[in-house]
Amino acid sequence: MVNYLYIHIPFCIKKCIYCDFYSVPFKSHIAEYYIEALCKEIQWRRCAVNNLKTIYIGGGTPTILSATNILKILNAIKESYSVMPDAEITIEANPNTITGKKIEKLLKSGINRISMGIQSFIDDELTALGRSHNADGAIKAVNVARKAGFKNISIDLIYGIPSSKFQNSKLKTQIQSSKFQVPSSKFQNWEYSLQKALDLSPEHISTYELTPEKDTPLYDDIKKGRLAMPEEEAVSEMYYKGIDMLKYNGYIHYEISNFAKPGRASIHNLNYWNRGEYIGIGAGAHSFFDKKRTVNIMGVTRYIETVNAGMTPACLCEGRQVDEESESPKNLEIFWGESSEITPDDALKEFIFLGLRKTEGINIGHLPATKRSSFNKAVEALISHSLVELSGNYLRLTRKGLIMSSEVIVQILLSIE
Amino acid sequence: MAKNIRNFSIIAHIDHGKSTLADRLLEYTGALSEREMVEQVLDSMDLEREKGITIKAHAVRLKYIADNGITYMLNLIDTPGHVDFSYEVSRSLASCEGSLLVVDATQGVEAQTLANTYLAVEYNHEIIPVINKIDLPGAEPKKVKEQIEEAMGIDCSEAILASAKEGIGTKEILEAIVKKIPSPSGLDEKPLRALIFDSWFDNYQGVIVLVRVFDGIIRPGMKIRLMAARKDYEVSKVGAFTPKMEEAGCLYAGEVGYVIAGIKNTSDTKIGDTITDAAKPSDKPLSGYKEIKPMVFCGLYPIETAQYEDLKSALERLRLNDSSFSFEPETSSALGFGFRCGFLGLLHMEIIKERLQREFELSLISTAPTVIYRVTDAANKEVYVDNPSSLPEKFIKIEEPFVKVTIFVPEIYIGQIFELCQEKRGIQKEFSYMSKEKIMITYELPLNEILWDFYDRLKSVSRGYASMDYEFMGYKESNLVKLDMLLNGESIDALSLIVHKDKAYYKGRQIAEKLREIIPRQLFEIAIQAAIGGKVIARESVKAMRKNVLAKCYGGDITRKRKLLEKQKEGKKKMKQIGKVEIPQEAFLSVLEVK
Repeated sequence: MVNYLYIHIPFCIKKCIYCDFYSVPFKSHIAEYYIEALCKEIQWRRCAVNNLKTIYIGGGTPTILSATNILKILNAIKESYSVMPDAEITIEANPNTITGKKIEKLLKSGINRISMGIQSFIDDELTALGRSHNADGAIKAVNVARKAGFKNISIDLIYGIPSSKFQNSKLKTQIQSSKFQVPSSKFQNWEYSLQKALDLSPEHISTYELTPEKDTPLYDDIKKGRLAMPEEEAVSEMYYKGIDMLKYNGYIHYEISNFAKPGRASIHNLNYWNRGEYIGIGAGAHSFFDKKRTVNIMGVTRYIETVNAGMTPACLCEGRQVDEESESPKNLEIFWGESSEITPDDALKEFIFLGLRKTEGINIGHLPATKRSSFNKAVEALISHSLVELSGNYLRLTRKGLIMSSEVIVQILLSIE
Repeated sequence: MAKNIRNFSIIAHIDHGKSTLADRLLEYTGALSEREMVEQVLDSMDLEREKGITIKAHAVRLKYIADNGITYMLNLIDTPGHVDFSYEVSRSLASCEGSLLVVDATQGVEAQTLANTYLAVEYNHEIIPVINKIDLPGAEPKKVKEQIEEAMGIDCSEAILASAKEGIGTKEILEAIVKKIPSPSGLDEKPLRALIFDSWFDNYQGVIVLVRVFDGIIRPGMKIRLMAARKDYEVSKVGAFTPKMEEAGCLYAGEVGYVIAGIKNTSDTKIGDTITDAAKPSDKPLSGYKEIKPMVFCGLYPIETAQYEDLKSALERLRLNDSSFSFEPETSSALGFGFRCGFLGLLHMEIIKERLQREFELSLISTAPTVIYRVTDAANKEVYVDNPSSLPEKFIKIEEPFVKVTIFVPEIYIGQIFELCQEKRGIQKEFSYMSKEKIMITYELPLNEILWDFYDRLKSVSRGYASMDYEFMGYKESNLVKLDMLLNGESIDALSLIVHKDKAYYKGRQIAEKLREIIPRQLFEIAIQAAIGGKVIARESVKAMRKNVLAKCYGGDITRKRKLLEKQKEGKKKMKQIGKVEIPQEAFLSVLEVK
């Protein structure tokens, strides 16, 4: 039985320029139907899910829903599965969808962790990213959650935000007129946002390098030269700045992009990196269960129709999804019907690339004996470049290796072919 | 009956409608029903169709009942449409008595058409001008006729106006073939002399040879001798393509058809060779035979050393069908074991490379194509160098092959053409007006300079209006030096090239820059240097990689991110590891991309 549950809420006020997740503009009547369908799917999955250790309501923007609707979902979950008393129940939130009243109701419903998509504490950067809130709003939202009694708050931040000349000049004037101390470079912007986040003392912070994904406005802007991504050197400095500042302030760096106060690492997300099973419910939600990775029908309307027609919305994750053009998950639909189970080979690859994301690394004792000698050779070379280190049976990325992890993983994958 | 035979070929510039016209003739004579008609039957190789050109000559026999009630046997001999294959064209033309000169009514005469027409005139062809595509809005048949008359001195008063696409003029063409082209001369009683104008290897039948019988009769059971190859075989089958393969009792003097004689290798069936009767040999072969020599060379290396044997057998397989290309094992300190391959020209090279990759699924690295240099070394000995890295350090002189290039171009683009030819070290030889606005220029150019982008640039500076043809002239001394490229201090032999001294500095700098763009960042900094005779003339560097990381990976990303990493992995596999540096395939051709 699966103990980890994900619920997808694919609605947003507006789409951010870098976002490649599946989401649609919020419409209340569609949301009603959608929640009905979600509840049905929750019921159906009864035979696979139980004794929930985590529930994660992600999006989109889950907090765009009314508290009543969110409660409906949670009730459906509780009716169908047993939830462990100490379960980690997270909801993702956007600052401008949070009110004191709503958040109190959420806390009462059993949600005990809130993950706030703040991204930056500089208004111009937020505008550039297409976010619908400003820095003030973000701070207020965290304070509201705190006041309501949330004891486990996570903040998402983004670094490596591009700028155009135009934006640079605009940025300067805005920062000069802002009441904050004026950061004068992109690097200082990042330091500033980190400090602002630390000032709020969240239990958990995620720092993400901005990545232009295909089929996003950001990607197009970069391609067409309207925006320029910062230099590799600058971005890597920002990354290390984040690690240093957060560690200094008592956060444990437990995954490439994740930091937590002791005992506050995200249990739900760790399950992904540990290759644990999980069930995802809702349009476009992914599941890993019974050696299969499946994805639910993308498209809110089709999801609702399928569920209402009494059919399962889940399909196997295909075998050839990432070719040049179809990297974006919205193209997943075309791969339906193709069946592929996770082979032992795929499982090993997943074990390596997911496991190495954690700073504790992977237990190399789990590697099959036949691959050990070439694996060891690759590891030796990587050690000589100070990209990985061995500690007992654990292989992990070094400080230098963290930001080169794809290179490391590719070398290791080559060695076990 | 030889007097009812007509042997002809079609001379046309690329895209002037040769294949479409051939299709119409086949269709009209009922060789193929409309339903059987696959468009452009004669271009049977996929590659030919893709590139829109005919590479291999084919011969098709058509039965035509003329207006006079007599049934004629028409043999259409298709000719390769690219300058790389001009010798093969000449052999095809030598096999006919007449040609259809097809000129696009909207484009007019092009350089290659002119060259091939002159060749046909040399073989005493009766030439029937056909103005094609008269249905197009831009058609100017009158102007084109004048141009043909002025440029080539061919009477156009009876030129046929046609549209192969629309089937206009097809019958007139067939009637003209019958009326104007002479029937082949030659006597069945004389000793056998048959000209080989094409051959290929067939998995079931061995080598199939296309011949034109000039004298005598060839029939199954007969012992034949290939005169230049000095080999004897026994004929098992003869016949013709209609266009289906149709066996016949024998081939008489004047006829065109195929011969199958248990031949294992096309290197024995040399184009232009004469087949005679081993029992009663002719004392003289047909004239015009030449040994074909490759003009352009490059190194082909498997990316994975394990594929060496596969590459070898693929090259052997391809050579079965194409004796005009050569290969020899060679070793590169950078690329390992591979082959130095010789081709008739650049297009020929591209075709072979593409077939190796497509049909044999090989991942290859190709070094930059080079011509063959004649070097008088320090010991005053003449050596031929087909690989820049084997240029002796000291030599007395170095000579390179020159070609005579004929260019046809509308007057308004003449300035750009001059500039291009000058950049390519050309010496202008002739300049004349073909018509009021079209000019013919001849240049002497080093073959090396027209190898890579010359044709494309010619086309681009003239908006596609210029056409060209070239012929080999001979060797001339040039001031050439060897340019070496070094990665982290190590000279990469596969990147060396021979260049003119005046261009060496510029090229060195450009190539270094190009390599900096192409070579991806790696775990360490990579120094790129260009050097002439040990003296470094340019420097660049690829900075060490600073980051390569997937920022996010959660439940919905796992399959996708795994594929992404596997794609990176596959990309890495395609690169060649030289020392510690990983070099993408395209780096080895980068040396060509600088002007």
